[in-house]
Amino acid sequence: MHILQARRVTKMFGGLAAVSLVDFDLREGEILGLIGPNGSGKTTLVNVITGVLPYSNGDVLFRSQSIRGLRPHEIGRLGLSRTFQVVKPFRNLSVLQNVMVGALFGARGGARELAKARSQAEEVLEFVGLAHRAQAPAESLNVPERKRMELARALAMRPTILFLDEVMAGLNPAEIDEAVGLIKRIRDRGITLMVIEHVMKAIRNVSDRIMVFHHGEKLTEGSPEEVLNNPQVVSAYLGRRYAEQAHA
Amino acid sequence: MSTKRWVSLLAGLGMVLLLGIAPEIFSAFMIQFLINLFMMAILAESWNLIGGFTGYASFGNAAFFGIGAYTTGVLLTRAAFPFAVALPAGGILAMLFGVAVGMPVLRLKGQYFAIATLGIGETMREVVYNMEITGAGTGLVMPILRTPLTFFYVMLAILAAATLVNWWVSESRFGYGLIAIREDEDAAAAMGINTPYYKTIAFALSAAFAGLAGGVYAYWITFIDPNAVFRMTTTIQMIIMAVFGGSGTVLGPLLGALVLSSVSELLATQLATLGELFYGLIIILVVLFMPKGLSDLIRQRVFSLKYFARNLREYRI
Amino acid sequence: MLEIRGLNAGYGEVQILRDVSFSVGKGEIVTLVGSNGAGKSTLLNTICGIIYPWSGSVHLEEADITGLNSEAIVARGITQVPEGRRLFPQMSVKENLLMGAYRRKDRAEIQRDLEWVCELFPILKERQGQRAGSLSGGEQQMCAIARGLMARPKILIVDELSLGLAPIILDVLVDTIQKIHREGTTIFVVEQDVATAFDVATTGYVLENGQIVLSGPTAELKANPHVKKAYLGL
Repeated sequence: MHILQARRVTKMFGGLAAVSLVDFDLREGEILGLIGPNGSGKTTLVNVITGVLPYSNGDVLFRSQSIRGLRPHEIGRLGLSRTFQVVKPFRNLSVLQNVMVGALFGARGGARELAKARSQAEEVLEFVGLAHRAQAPAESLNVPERKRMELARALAMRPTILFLDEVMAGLNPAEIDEAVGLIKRIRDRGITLMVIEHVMKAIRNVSDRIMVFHHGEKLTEGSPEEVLNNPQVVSAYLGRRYAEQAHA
Repeated sequence: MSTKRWVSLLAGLGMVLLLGIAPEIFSAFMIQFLINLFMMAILAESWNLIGGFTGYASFGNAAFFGIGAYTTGVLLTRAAFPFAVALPAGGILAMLFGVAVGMPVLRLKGQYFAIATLGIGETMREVVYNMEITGAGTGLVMPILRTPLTFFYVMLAILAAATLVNWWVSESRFGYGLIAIREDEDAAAAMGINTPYYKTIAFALSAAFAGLAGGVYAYWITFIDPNAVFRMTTTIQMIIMAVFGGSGTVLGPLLGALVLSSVSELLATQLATLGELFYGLIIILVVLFMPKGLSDLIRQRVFSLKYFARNLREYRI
Repeated sequence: MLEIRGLNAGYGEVQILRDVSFSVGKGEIVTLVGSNGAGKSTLLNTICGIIYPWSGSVHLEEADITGLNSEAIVARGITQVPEGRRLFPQMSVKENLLMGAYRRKDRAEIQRDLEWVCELFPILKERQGQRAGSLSGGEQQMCAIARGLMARPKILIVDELSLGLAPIILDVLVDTIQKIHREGTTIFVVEQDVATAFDVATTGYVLENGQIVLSGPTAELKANPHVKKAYLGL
């Protein structure tokens, strides 16, 4: 079942097409990877879908209903959550409180009582492996922890679809494996995911399908094997060193 | 509600009751001082809702104070309404004004919001100055109330209400929404918080309490004119008190009002106009050494100078 | 050129760096790698005068520069390309580049350097009037490196070159940095992506828990079993 359908989504900045006539379908329960050079429109696409930026053209259907024109908080309430490429922690709150905000608002308005939100937040922190830092001020977290908190916050919203924007940047190989496992467990909970990444090892292992962007357009899509061996993708995005390493 | 919350609520109630007996003990002068103190505390607590919790530093809240004062004043003098009606009317009108003005102005960020609200404060004075019904430049003279203690109890009641609202906000879903907006508005919106709506409510509540304080003030002081109630200094005082005490906390604005009012009163008797210099110095010192206010000092149980040194270092360029 | 001797440093009571010693010779291209929390930022903060080490020293061309403030350190010829680029977003690309040459007075030479960096990174010439904030991540990284070069530093320190960049952009950057090195600039790359770091540099140091645990030519380090398992995921 196609839970999200994008039709000819276009976003112009002046004369520049940051996103151009993008069509794609997101199947319920799948993990769709999104790769492409910097500036190819990946984050812009997410910003348009989540209501942060207005559409120049096109439409997106969530469960067959158009969500074009909805404001960010309405999108969040519908069940679409996202993380930000540059994380946005609530610095003066603790980790637990940060995640509680997600539980209090979020899908269908979230929890009404603090106590319920608190226990939901604790559960999410346990799930992502940040429970030991629950009382720490958000400021005191290092970068990987902040990314994980950002993820926890989005999860606490009980989303149907989760957009992850470069959550793996800066992780070492062991941490990447852990994160891939976590993302798969999120999918096991019934959440559909779209994952934007530059870390090839992660994208390769986590995605059911991969979509490639280039200059605002969808270049190609398919299984990881198909896409990562596609010569167009190699020349536009993966480069020579990746090809060398992949065949080493 | 947790035990801690119950305790704080009961403690607050106790405080109110205690203050209620104050007139038995204190002199008439002290009562007047307390009425003024309560009023400043109301203003600080009201500002705290929009400036402290939501992070939108409004520089025009004196406008709401003035609107409350004039609404109550006009209803008392021109329409001979009883105080029990004129006062709430003042609060309601101030609140409505807050909503009307808030909707466009709350779309502005940071310094633009500050300037816009400053403009509103200044504009209101000129508007009222030019209206017949408000007595224009001559001002309004209120009927005299022979029971001065009324003002004491009414101010105390409004202060209790304002503090209660702050107390509720500090541990509620609504409060979390406001704080999220302060910390990162884009993230807050992405998480499902209807930011324009929440901001407007905070602003309206802030206006309502400022308006009520103004209403009591008008009747208490018995004479108001535009310059008296639409004063930039009133706005600045409430901000300094809230920040000095600890903005974004429940007790901070109260503490700030208490300490600064008392010291200012002391200095006024000793040093007259040097009192203004004193206020300026406070702003500078607070921003440099204890930007989180008195309440943070108390919460962290600061005993050494390291706290101040750290703040100085952290905020230097 | 740059010598670190026995550096111990930390924040408050927490020790991060433990007896760190290494050197970057004139004309070399050296890398220091490590995971998050290994101490890379602390090390750079100490070198660049942002924090004061508990003990040990930092030397630039024999002169002891330990604990000098950042301005003095830049004046002596150390330029850092910071993590996350940190361009001036409202300024144009060209203005950002010229800001790199802020301390210099030799107009003619500055012009020539401007042309040189535009040759290295042709896209910057194309985008020179554009607001730096509107560039893509890879373009910003190029602009940041070019800005660093505009200071004609004795040693260029690059902090986290690869963060958030597409593989193909990294290819270009690796090639360009090697080109810059061949033309005579001494370069020190602090990096988390070990594969990229060992591709770009000839000598490498591995930092773990605040200590240097491995060092040597990068070709050898690439084959080291510990490195392969922990950092290259092989």
